[in-house]
Amino acid sequence: MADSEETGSQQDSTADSAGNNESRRGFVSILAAGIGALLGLFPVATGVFTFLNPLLGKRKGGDKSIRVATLDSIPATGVPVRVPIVADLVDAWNREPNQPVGAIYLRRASDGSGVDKVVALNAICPHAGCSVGFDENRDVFQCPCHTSSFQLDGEIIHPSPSPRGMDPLTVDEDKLKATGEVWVEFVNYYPGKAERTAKE
Amino acid sequence: MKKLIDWVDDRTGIRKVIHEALYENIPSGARLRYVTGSMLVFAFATQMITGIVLWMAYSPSSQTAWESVYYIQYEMAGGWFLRGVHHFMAQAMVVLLGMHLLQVIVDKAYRGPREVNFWLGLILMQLVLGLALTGYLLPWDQKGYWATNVATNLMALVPFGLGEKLQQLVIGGTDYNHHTLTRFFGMHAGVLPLLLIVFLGLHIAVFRRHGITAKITPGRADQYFFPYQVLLDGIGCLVLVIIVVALVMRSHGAELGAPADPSKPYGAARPEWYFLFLFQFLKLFHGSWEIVGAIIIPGAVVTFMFFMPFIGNMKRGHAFNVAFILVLLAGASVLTVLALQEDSKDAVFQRDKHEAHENAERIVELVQRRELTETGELSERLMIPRQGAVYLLRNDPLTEGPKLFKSHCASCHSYVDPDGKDELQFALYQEPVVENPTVENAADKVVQRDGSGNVEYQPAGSTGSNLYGFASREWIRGLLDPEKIDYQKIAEPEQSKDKLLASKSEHPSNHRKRIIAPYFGNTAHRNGRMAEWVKNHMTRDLGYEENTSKNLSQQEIEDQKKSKAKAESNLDAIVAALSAQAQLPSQQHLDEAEVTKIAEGVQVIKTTCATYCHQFGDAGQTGLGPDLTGYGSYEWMMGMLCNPSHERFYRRENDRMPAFAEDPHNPKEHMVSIRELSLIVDWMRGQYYDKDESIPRLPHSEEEGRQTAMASIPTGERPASQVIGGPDPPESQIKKENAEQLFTRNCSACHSHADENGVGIVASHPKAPNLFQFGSRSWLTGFLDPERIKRVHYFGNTAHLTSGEMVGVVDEFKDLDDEQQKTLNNVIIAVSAQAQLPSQKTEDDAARADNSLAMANEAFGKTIDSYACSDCHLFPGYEDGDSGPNLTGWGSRDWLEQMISDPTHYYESNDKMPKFRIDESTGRKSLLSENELELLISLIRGELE
Repeated sequence: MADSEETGSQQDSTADSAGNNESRRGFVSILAAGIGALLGLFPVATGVFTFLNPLLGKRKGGDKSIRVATLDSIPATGVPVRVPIVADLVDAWNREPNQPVGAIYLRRASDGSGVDKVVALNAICPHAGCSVGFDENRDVFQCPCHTSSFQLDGEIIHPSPSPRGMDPLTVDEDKLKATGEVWVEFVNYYPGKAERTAKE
Repeated sequence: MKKLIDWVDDRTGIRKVIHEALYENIPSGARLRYVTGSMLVFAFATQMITGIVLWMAYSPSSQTAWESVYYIQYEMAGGWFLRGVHHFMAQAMVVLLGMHLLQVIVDKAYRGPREVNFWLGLILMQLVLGLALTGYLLPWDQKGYWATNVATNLMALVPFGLGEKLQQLVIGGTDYNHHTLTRFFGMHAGVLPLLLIVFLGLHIAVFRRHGITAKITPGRADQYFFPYQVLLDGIGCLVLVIIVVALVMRSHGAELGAPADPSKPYGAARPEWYFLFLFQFLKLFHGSWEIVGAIIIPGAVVTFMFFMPFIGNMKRGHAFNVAFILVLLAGASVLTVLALQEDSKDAVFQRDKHEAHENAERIVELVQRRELTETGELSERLMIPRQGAVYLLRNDPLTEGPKLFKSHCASCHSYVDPDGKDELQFALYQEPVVENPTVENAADKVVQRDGSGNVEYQPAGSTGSNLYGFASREWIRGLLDPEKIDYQKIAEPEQSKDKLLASKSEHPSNHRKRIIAPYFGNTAHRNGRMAEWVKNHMTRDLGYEENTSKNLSQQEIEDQKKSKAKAESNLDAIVAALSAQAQLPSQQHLDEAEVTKIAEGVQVIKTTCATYCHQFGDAGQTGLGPDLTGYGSYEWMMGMLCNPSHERFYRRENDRMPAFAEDPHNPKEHMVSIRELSLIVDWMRGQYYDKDESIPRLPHSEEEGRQTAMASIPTGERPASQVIGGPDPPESQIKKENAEQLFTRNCSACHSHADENGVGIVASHPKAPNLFQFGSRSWLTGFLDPERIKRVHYFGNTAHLTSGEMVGVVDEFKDLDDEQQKTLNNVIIAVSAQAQLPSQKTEDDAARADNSLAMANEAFGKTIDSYACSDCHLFPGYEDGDSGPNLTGWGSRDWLEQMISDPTHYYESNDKMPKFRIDESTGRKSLLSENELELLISLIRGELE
């Protein structure tokens, strides 16, 4: 009797544990899988924000107007000159003053009214980001990488692979008239597109 | 032994593993066509191991990446070989990829049940290409930097705003920065190899599951993988090793370009050869179609390849796949060849490539530069400073000098070797008028011709001197040559050097006329005092005056010859001594050899040049001509470039040369930075590192440049205003100091302005009257005293002492009786009254009031001894004088203005006093401005006390 009881209880317990075991096993499995997934995610989660840091960065404050040249240093003949943009270069942990951070072309143009006008163009080719050169024999801008060429005012000369002409930059006319100095708002744009999108 | 192996096998089960690995059955036996897979594995293992060793020496940051690769290549034992193998094995892997892909497709090993394995293989291919792309950037040289720049820019083409985000993630920002390198390195050494190992493991496991796709030849026996296929694989890998090692030996390692410089345009940017077909392909897609060529088509091709297994199952599908892959490979090859051909025909690209090569060599030279220690020995190699190798190249005068000269100087100055040997030159031209300047294609421009068919030209414009070999002996000798100093010529039209344009005879670039004006010829100085002296007075001042009269005695002829020889030797000495001031490195030996001649020349300069116009050391006075002290030296040139209008140089007479850094203390206002000016000067003077020189020369640092510029042109700040906390000096004192400065600069080479005790401005070698209280009765009294007129205070040191009549006249005043003395005194009163000096106002007014002035005026016409003043001089009421200066208004403001502006107005035989104000409409500027002249006159008239 005790045996049967025992057996019975054993059976019961087996049946019970079998029923309990199944649900417990199911629960344990879920728990194990869940913890495993969390553990697997843990190293990834630790690093994901740092990895995505470039996308999460704060925007740089407004466009900087930079003094790039004096009017006298730009030839009156209308030949473009290549001028480096010198500014504070912030590169992750370095801040270095007076470093070349880009280049532009400056050219004297007259708008017919006798006022000295200066045209500024970003020297980066809007096709794929190479540095545009100036061919003084043919009087055109010529990119050495994929042979895009541009007129003196930056307009594209077809056939050229570039989706748009060279990017013009704003010259401060008032300062130019007042002091004879050329101040330019230096901006870089994303290459490869027909429309101009500034890089933040 | 067997017991040992048994024990290990029992513990690890190694025997079974090895057996599985080695004894795979290959139906129809081992074949060469199966080796590509193993070769790829071998290549990858090589890359891993060489990569890890490189990793132990490589430092991925923009200040250290290139530098660490340089060190591996040039300084570490076997580094070049290690790097070379890593580089060429990578290229071999790309070739092997193509071969393996081709073999797999042709042998139908991509079809079921091996589709998944094929896809794993395609993924592996992408990973290997990714490794190649990321690896190319790591040396951080110009080539890798700019080529990868293009590739990452293409990434931004991905639409829906993802492109930019993707690009920012890959390069760690919007532009290349520190994180670009660290991310690429993380990919190259971490993520991609890890993924590659994982996928390779899967690829091999899945491959073994289905076994090799064997090419069955009936009758050919099966073989085990080991030893027969292993042998073939080994031979394949051996061939690979031989080819790679041969390539490595041939180029002594892998190429290393100049350090990456984002500010330097790099026209020779090209991807590695195995991506050239993509590069060429991209040129076909213009404007907004770029995304098609860069992303859509390549993406479509790769995606298609994933479907190849299914296509292969269809009828004719396999043939299609084989055709597809063959066309792909053929197309890629054709595009690659086209790219190479286009580049070889592109003159601009070849020139840029040549320049890139030169820069790569130059930076190695610079890194390995040495200097001379105090003991006179060569030092150790100076290697790379903390700012990185790019800093060395950016501050190398040889590399940067010509570019800076071209931007800032070559619009006025030419730089042409007179011997025509030096290829580097900047020449100036008179340009033709263009008939159609606004035509769209600039190659279609034509010259404008006038009615007779002659080409019309724009005016030539002024051009500065030819600066080739500036301050060398040859250059100075040319300057002191009467024929050359103002020589100017416009040459015949030259043909263009551009082949395309040279064929168009009417293009303006074939009609340019070179302007040849080596010195002052095309500037306002051509009519200046220096040109005048060189042409008309130099030989005489050097000791030779040609005696053109006939019938010279033998002695006279001999004397003539001797003095001519002496004059020539004097000129030689001047040339040597002046050129020695520059201390040009190229003339170092010559300067040492000619020590005696130079010493002689120094004396000649002091007595010839530093008498009236130039300062030279302690001789002479700065003001009427540029300072010759240190002429052409680094210090002199820095000052000259900073401000050619400085009182030390050309002052108002400077003909349009800009002041590039007018105030050295204020860098924000500079037209050109002092660092760049220093580079130009060092380049012109040949002060840059040349490994072939036995005595190494190093250029000046930026700090040295700054210090030198500040010392070279002192700001002239008044000593009083340099005291902190003191009272501001009154206006009148400032005015007086300015006037005294003007007098010192302009007059004190000859004149003094000092009282009898020597208080005031004293000329060190007076050659003209002391102007203190000029116009006053006391001054005149001394002047008309027979004893005192001969003293230095008046005409003592001038030509008027011996030639001219005044001294002789005054000499007669030795013994005057009372009547004559009275007349003389009256003359003094009369003439002095003309000056209307404020300090004499009381006396003059009194004389006017009591009519003694009228009497004095009469005395002017009275004879004293043999002469009356009116015999020679004009005066109010006397109009007969014709040989002496007009004394009307003598000493008055107007009279002084006229005298100082143009002494020849009064003194036909003017003794070397310059004209201080000239007609400026010709473009030449006067020595003094109107205001300066006014101020000076105020000083002389005693109005500033």
